[in-house]
Amino acid sequence: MPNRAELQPRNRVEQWKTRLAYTIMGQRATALLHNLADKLNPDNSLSVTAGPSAPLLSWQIRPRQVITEPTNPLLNQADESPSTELPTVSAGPPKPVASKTLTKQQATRNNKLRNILAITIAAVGAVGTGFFGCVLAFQYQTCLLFRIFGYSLFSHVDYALFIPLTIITNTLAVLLPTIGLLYLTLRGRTNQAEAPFALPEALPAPQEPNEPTPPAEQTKEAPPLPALPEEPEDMPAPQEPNSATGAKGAEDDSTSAVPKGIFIGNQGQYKATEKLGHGGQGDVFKGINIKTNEIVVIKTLTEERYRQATSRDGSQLKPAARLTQEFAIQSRIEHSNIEKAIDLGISPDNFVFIAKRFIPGTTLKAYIDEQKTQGQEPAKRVASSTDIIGQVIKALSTVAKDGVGHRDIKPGNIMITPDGHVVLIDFGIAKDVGFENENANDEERLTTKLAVMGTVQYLDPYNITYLKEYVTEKSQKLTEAQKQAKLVNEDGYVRTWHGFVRITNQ
Amino acid sequence: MKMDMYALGMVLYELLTNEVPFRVKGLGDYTLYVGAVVSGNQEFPNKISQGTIPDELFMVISRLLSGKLENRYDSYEELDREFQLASQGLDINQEAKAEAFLDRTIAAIETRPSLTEHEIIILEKMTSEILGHEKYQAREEIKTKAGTILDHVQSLIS
Repeated sequence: MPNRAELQPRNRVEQWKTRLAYTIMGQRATALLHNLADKLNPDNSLSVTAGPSAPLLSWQIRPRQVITEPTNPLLNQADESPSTELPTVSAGPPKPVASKTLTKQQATRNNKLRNILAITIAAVGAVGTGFFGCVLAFQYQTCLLFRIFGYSLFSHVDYALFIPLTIITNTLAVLLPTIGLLYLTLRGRTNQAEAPFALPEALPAPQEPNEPTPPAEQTKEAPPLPALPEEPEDMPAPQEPNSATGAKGAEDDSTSAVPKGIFIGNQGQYKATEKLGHGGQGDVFKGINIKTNEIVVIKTLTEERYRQATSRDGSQLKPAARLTQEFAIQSRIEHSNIEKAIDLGISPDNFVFIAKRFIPGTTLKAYIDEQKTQGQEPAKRVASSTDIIGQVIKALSTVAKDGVGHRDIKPGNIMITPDGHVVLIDFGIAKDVGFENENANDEERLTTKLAVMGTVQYLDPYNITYLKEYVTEKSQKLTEAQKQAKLVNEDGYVRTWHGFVRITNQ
Repeated sequence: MKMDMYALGMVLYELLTNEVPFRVKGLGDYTLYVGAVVSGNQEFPNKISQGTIPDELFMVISRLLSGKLENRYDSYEELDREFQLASQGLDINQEAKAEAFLDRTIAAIETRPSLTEHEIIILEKMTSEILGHEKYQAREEIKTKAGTILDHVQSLIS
C-alpha cells in the first residue's frame, strides 16, 4: 500500500479540500485550504469540481453532496479576498441536491429490506426446518417402536425414507440460520466500511447538459486517490508502525509517537517536537514554527478516530469538522483568558490540524492534586480560588457574548500559567450558534456514549430536565426550544451535551 | 450558557474543598442523579463546608448547581457581580457592608421567586447574626430590613 504521507503537499491539500467541501461545517476550512493551495502552486489554481473521479474504495470518504465551484459562494469569496481571515457564513448551509437525497433514501431503504430478508430467512430456517425435522424424527422413532412391537400404523411407507429426510431437514435447520447470520455479519462488516447511501455507480454526477466533462479532464483536475486494497480485512491495522498518530500502544513513548513530517499551515510550517496528550478526538503535540521558532500546540485527529468517523453513515468528517469549528471559534475570539488558535492546515499524515498558541503552566486538575497533597491555609485557598474562578468567569462571559458555549468546562480544560494567569482551553466540543450544522444527522450514539464517561461529573443535569415534559407529554408535541436544541431524537434518546441518554418512564 | 455555569460551580467547589460535591460515576449514576433533579429532590452535600467555604461563596455555588432553573444566574454579568461581592466576603462589624448586604438580599427576594435551600439557611443565619449584633441594636432601619428578610425566609421554610 502506498504510504499516504508520501503524497505531495499540494495533492494532500487538494484531497482534503475536496473532502471537506462536502461537509457543511467544513466549508470555512475549505476556503482556508483554497488559499493554502494557491500558495503552494500559484500557477495552477485548484477548482473543486464534481468529486474525485477515481472509483471510491471502501475506506474512502463518500461525497455527501456535489458542489460545483460557481455555486459555492464560499469558495468564490475566498477567491476574491485571499485573506487568511475566516469568511463569515451568513447564507446558511447549502441545500443538498435533491437527486442525491433520493439516492440516499433509496439506498437506506434497500439496506433495511435486505437486512429484514436475511433475518426472515434465518428465523424461518431455524424454526421451520428444526420443527419439521423434529416431527420427522419423532415419527421415525414411533415407526421403529411400532415395528418392534410387531405392527405399524405406517405400513404403506418405506421406513427407510425417514432416515435421509431426517438427516436433510436437520442439516438444513443448522445450515440456514448459519448462512443467514453469516450474511448479516458480512453485510455489517461491509456496511461499516462503505457508506451505504452513496455507491459510486448509483451516484448521478450532476453534469452540465451542454458541456459534459470529459473523463481525461476529470482525472487531471482531481488526481486519483491512492489505490488501497478494497477488502476491509486487508485494511491496515490502527497500530501501524509508520503511522505516528495511530499508534495507540506508543502512548508511553512520547518521542516515538511524534510525526516526523512537516505540518503545512496557512500561516507557516510547523514541526512537532513532543507529544502532550492523547484524547478521544485527537492527538495534541507541542510543536515549533520552523521560521519564527514560535512554540505552538498542534492538535490533529487520530487515525483511529478518523477511520471510525469515516465508517459511520452520515457522520463522516465529523471530527475534522469539529476541529475546524474549534479553530473558527478560537481564532475569532480575542481575550487574554482564552486560548488563541493561530493556524489550520494539513498534517504530514494527511489530516487536518490546527495550531494554537502554547501556554506554559499546568492544568487546574494538576493544581488541585497538588493542593490536595500540600494542604493550604483556608484563607489563602479561598483567595486563590476566587481569583482563578473570577478569570474563568471573564473568559466565559466573553465567549457567551459571542454566542458560543464551551460545554466542556472541567479542571482539565483550565490552564494556569506560573504567574497566575488563567486560560480557558479546548473548545473541541463547543457549540457555536452561528456555526452549528442543523441538518446534520445525529447518528453519533456509539462515539458519544463512550465520550460521556470522561466528563459526566461536570455535566449539567438541566440539559435533561426537558425530559420531564417529554415524559409527561409522551407524544411528538415537542416544544420549539426542544426541537431547536434537538434534545430528544426519534428513538426517545435524550441528547445531552455529551451524548445520548435513554431514560424510561420510571 | 447555563451548562457552563453548572460546570463552573463544580470546579469552584472542587477548588475550595478538593472534592466534588457529588461523585458521579458513569452514566448510571448520572441517570439517577438526573432523575433526582427532575423530580425536585436534588441532593446537595450536607456536610457543609465547616469553615472551608465562606457562606457567601457557598450561596453562589448553590445557585450555580441548583436543579431549579429559576435559581440560576441569568447572565454572566450578574454572576460576575455577585461573585465579586461574595469573594470579598462579609464583615458584620462594618456597618456599610452589612447594610449593603441587607439591601442586596431584599432586592433579590423581591425579584426572584424562590431561593435555594442553602441560600435560605445561610441567609437566615447571617441575618439573625446581624439582628443580634449589639452594634445595630440602636439602628431601627437595619432591624426592620433584617426583620423583613427573616419573615420572608420563615415563610419560605413553612
